Amino acid sequence: MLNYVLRRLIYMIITLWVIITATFFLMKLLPGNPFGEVAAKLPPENLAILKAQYGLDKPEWQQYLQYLGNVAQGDLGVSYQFPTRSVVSVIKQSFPASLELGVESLVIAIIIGLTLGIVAALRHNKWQDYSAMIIALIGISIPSFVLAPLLSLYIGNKWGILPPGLWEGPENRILPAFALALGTIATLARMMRASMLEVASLDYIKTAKSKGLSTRKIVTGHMLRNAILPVVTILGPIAVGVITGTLVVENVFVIPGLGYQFVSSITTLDYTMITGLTIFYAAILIVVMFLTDIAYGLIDPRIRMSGRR
Amino acid sequence: MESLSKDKFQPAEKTTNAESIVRPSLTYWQDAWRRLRSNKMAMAGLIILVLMTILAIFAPMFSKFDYETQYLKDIDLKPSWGHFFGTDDFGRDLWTRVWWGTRISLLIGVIAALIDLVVGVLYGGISAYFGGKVDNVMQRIVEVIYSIPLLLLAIILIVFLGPGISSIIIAYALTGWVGMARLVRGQLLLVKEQEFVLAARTLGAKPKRIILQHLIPNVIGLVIVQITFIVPTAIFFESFLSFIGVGIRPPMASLGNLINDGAHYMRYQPHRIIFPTIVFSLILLSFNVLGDGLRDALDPKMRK
Repeated sequence: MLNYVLRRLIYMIITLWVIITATFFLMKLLPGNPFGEVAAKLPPENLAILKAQYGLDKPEWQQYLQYLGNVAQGDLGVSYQFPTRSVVSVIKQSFPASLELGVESLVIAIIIGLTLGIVAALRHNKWQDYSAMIIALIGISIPSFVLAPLLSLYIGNKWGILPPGLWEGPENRILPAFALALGTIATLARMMRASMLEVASLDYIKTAKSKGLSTRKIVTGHMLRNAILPVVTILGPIAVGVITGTLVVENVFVIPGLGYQFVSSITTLDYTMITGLTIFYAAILIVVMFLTDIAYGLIDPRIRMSGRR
Repeated sequence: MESLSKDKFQPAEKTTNAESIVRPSLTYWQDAWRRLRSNKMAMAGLIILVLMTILAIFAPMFSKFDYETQYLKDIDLKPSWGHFFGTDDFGRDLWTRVWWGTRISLLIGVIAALIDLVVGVLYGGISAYFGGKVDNVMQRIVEVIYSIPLLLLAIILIVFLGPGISSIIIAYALTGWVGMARLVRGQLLLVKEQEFVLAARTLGAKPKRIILQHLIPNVIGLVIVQITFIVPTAIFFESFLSFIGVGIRPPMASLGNLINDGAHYMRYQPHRIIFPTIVFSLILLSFNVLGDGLRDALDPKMRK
């Protein structure tokens, strides 16, 4: 197990390095002036000073090494558009809201999604099954950028049940967290249903039934642990979905999170901010994938064995 | 006990050729089609998709309007017999724009899926077939690409190549093939240990022949199912890009930018978001139920 973790850790670092390198050189390929339209009117001497300030006067390989060094020390650079803001300070300021939103929506999604999946499987081909799957299909086919504005408009604005936006009290959390969760609910419910149905046909469940165990005992004691395995593997991709989802939901509900920052840095073409935030996002995703793999190994001893080879 | 008389017996009639099989044998594809046909949801999905494709191809052709001409006298019209879906704030006919957008979105989805298919199947096939060091190196590359966020790559590529259909397709295809490659590799690792592959190798078949003739046909069902999930993902991806402002640019229409335009006018002109959303959701839904149906139909484990 330790060997496996170590090996995965090394891959994690390599992946991060590749991402940093790729984003750095892709940035260098971008046409145009990194300082925006204002700087285009500057006299060349001033532009040279500005470039020197950001280290853009050195040869590219020196810039690259410096950038790598900075990132390793946790410095992701300074915004080109707002020179007083560093990328790290923006992350510190806006990440907590995103993290909270993401975790809340994941919790909602896991509770509702797994329950729907389990109920659907236990009542296979009955009305509970069909209604759970219809909910799941709606979740897949209505995109969050339609659903989120609709929720905000109707529940928030027209009916006034919950606040339509902003990020103040706990009542502000419900709508965005739910809008973000719906897609995940759908994926989890479908996955859990399929996996429960598969487990239900296995021999050891027949044994349990013939021993006369109650349905509740069979489900909690025998089926869940095996049925949840394939579901754990998609938690990584689901986390990716939740993170990209925050880009939409934060913009619709005007939540001062990282997704909001990311989209606005794209619209203002704030290159350092885009790279910095991307590296940060990538790092989170890689860590989440790593944790999912470890969790998978912990739940299923068979994986742990094969990981050691 | 009653004695048995001869007249209680009759000679058994000789049936014509008892050895013959009564029902014609079905090939894999006939069998899969038969099972798919009995799945109502999947068939509904298939029919909707065919209808949508026909409309996407022919509706703009037979419309009196085109997708970009502005009629400033006719702005913000509600749906009527002249304009089935109404008009937008430039007086453009939404019926034409929605089907034009469907065409663009389907095109993006299908081309992206085809690129994924070719690259993913070849990559996964080679990786699984050779195994060992080759597999290890190729899988590390896959892991690295898999964890690169698609979004940034897309944004940078779109800025670099200029916004448009081709840059979106390239951006999607660059990372989209990875999922396919992993899937194919996983399945092939199972298949390649089976005896018929060993037999082919013993008979001296070359790697290319074994991959193309023996391994790939065994994963084709899985691949088809995967494609029915890739197409909607790519369509979704395009509309997501539209949302953050780097998708297909107006006056060109795509379902993504129609929905996002419509979202701004949702309060006062609901028709502008309703129609593209219905089409978009129906396409996504149909692909998903069709994919599920195909998975059941093509999976040999489900055979009884």
